[in-house]
Amino acid sequence: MNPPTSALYADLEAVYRPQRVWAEGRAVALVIAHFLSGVGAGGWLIGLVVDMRLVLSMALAAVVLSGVVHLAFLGHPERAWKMMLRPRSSWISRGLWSIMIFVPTAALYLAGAYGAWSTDSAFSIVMLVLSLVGMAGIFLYKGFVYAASRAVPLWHSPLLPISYIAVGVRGGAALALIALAFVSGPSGNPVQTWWLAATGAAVFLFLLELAMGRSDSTVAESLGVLFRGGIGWLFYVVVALLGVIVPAALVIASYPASIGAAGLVVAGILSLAGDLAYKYCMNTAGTYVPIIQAKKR
Amino acid sequence: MRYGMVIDLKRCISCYACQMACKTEKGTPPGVLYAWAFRVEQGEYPNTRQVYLPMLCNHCDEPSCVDVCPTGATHKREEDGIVEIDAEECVGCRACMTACPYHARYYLDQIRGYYPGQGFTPYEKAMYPEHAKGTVEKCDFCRHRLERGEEPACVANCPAVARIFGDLDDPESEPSRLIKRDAGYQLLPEQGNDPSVYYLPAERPAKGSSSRDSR
Repeated sequence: MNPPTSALYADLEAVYRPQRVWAEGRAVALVIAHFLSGVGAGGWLIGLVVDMRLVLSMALAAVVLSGVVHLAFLGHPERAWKMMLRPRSSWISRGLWSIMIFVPTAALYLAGAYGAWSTDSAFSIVMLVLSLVGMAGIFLYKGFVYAASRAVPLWHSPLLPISYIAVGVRGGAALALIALAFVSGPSGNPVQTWWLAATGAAVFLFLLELAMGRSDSTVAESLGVLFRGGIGWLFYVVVALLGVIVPAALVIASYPASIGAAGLVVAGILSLAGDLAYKYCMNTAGTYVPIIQAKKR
Repeated sequence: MRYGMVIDLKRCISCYACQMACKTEKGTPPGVLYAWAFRVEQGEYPNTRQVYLPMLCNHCDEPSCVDVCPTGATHKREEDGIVEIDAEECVGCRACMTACPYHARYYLDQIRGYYPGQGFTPYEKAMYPEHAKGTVEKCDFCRHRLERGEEPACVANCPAVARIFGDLDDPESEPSRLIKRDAGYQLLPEQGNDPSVYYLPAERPAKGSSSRDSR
């Protein structure tokens, strides 16, 4: 829904105007869609690296679902195909192209992986390469969709796209943690190692982004919303505690001794919940650059 | 040709006539303000003042909203530089709204009347078909009035003649002369959008008369 008129008038008189259009009401669908596409791209990468077909299947399902949820956000979903018309300038357009390339080629590669044809065939290899191209596009587009918004300095950072790639890989590794409950995984603990590495990278990039941006008054305002505003509890409890600290403890504990399938599933689900909350928090904390610097009324 | 506007903050009396004229001309629903006034306090007590900054779409020469639009619904007209939205092409992704630093755009997820529970007024019934649900909309410099040889409604209805409209590409046009003479400035030039709306400072020395005085 549109924000109430009273909120609009408050926004129009605020020096730091909150970004609402990609955070409130039906925009939650956009947050979920971006989360799912990141998890899907990450899952495809991790599934190929650790050779787990179930993870590949889950990744493909996540990307398909992200497309459906994207449609729920649009004002005119029946016109969604028109979003492919501007790949030269729009990252949304590039993202849609990436999804359109990824879904059929990943599905065909997966069909080969399940025995429809040999994965060593030229056709399968071509499908694999195209699916990787689509995956790369999906990884990239989300971050750049936000980074393209110069008016929202929290998002307009060269680190944001890299950070969202790391979050996507982390999400893919979380999918693999969950899949380990249902199928046997590779020897050693490569899934856990990928999850820890991606989590470390995501946390490092987030902190680096904050350190680089905090001198900007608008970014500082956004950080105030993130850490001390109405979504502060979501950030501290769901993103930091449940999304990073608890699953990290479980995953680290799984190295010396088995914590059982249930432990890894819990770690994976918490990690995914943390990533979803992180995306929501980042969207909600977005603040427009002030039109004029002035004392707030 | 590049249509543009100069807003003279020394002349502006903060009467909101521009906002009302726009509302009347375009028949926008509640919560949609193509023209509005940014009202803030500046300074520290006791040396404070209230500043009114009339706002509208800046019809930028390098519009960031155009670059991010995935369908081309938002585009800049080559013939006059007006940035407009084709409602038939807009999918309602709202990327343009996150890209615009001037709060010039509104998303219509529903079209409400001004009198809830009483249906639409005859005026609303007449005007609301111009507004497409599920799309983004904004000021178009009253393109329909320009085609009739008239000025935008906010310009024509400004009682203080604080808004001056014309061709910024013409160095002899009144907006161009005023920008040069009175050090007109753009909002947020660091954003790189090169807005076509300029402001003349509220505090500046008087420098001769203008043809506006005789309007």
